[in-house]
Amino acid sequence: MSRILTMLVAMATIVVALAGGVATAYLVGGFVEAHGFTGASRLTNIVFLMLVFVMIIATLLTLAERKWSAFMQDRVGPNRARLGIPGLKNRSLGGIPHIITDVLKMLTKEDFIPGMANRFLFNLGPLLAFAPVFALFAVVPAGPTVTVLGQKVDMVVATPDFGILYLFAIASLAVYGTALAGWSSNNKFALLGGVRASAQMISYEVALGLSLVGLFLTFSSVQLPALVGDVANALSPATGQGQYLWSTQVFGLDIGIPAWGFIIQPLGFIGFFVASFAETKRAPFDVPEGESEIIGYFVEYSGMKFGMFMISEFVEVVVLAGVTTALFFGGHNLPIFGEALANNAFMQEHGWVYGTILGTVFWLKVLFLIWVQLVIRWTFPRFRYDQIQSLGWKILLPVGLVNVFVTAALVLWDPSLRALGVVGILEIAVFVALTLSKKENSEAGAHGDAHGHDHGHAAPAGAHADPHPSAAGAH
Amino acid sequence: MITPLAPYLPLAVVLLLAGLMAMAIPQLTTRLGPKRPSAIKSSPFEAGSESSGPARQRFAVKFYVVALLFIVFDVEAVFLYPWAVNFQALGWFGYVEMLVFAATLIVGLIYVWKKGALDWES
Repeated sequence: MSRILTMLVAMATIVVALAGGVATAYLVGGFVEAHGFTGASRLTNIVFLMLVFVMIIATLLTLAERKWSAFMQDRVGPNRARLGIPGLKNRSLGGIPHIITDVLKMLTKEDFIPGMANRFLFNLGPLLAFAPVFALFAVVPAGPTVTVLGQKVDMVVATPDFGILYLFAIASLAVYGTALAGWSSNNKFALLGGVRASAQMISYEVALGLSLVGLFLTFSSVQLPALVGDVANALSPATGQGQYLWSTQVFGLDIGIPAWGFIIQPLGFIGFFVASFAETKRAPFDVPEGESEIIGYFVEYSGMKFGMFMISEFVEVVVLAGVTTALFFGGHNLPIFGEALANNAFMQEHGWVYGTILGTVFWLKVLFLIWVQLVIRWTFPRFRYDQIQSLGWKILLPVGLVNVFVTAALVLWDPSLRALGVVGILEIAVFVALTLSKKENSEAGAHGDAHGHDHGHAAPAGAHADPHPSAAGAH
Repeated sequence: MITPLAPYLPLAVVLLLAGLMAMAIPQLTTRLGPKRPSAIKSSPFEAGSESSGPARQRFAVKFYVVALLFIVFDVEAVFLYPWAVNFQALGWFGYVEMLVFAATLIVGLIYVWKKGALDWES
């Protein structure tokens, strides 16, 4: 009982902290717009969105990932570091002091450059791995445009015309970081890891680009704020993912099925999520680095240079969750009651309250998608490299192409997007059915294998066929 | 905020900030950490055994094939974007035209598939 209470208190704390951060961001934005120059709120958004929200979540994620893996493997996880503050002396505090000790440890290690390495490129590697990833979040809208202190304030750093192409362009720069790190170390393991990582990342970039085309042609835009859209209010109809496919009014409140990306574009969503998961090089796609078994492209790096590779992986997780939220989970829009909230007189009077509620909704969706990524990371076994390549080229690429033209035909046939919604929901049903039937099949297969073996010991399916259990297949 | 470049100012600030952070943070280790170089330490790490020389060697041709395929199909994806944005104005005519364009590339995909360029183990 006290455990459940602790969890509820922790969740409430997270929600309050998020809401506080978003409210501060809106109020400061309105203040600098009113007393500074037009567009000043974009600069404070850099501080709030990128330095506060993304970086703090990424830092906490270094601990959350270890705690979650411990939970899934029935361990306690990091709990040894203690703070010397009176009253908290003998409390593990959920392992949070470990974040501080990790930073101190990385900062005080020797900054070491191997003798045979190319010094300039060796130093450039971690820079190119971190800087593009950090800059990615600039085009992701984390809240609606509202009026604060008489000024229009939005929760996005930049809205360039090229929109999401900025994401693709900057994200592919990270390939140089891994390739340079692998090559410049002049170490055979690092070189292998580097070329493996580069080949994997560019293979999945094709699928990544294709998977979003369906969404672009549905909403006729590549700009993230337009793709997220807004719910209908007294002045304008709903746009983007703010619109409903089907809706009805119950007691003056609107409920229905929203036109969110994962409903109208389930294939695009899966393609995008898998491809960008491969881009982050996390398990099950962690062949280039594999912390414990495979020596990766950053084997020769030490101290904070290694830390740059590590933190950029966690920033990637946060950014991927943010982009997926904006593209496929309606961004800051509520699934239901959105119109009732937008047309509420109090909310129209106090824009920052409305912005805070929806901004908190955005970050809660982001936290959920981060959690999904942690679960995937610690559930699936590592894919073999040939499986990774054939998944990218033989499955995601053709499926992405088919998805583009099926979506295009459906949008032309029925511009209200309802046909797209029906097909999407059918696709989701097929996925669910396939997932459930697959499970029964593999269980039957495991039993068959165990019976087929003379030794009679219960080997896990597939493990006995392969001398390296870590490289066992996906099943 | 009248100049047409003004919307790009925050992007420039972000890119500058990212570059500065990425340069400054590793510098902290260089300043704070110890410096104890040795000949053994500066040789390439090869899982404990003695190094068998530099890594400037040739590696499998498969990686180059992946790079070539990437260029072809990523350019295809790039051509789809402007079409996707103007798609609802172009209508069925644009749809058929893009289908013809994609068909030529699908033929290419079938060709490289049959040639075995997509099979990693070969």
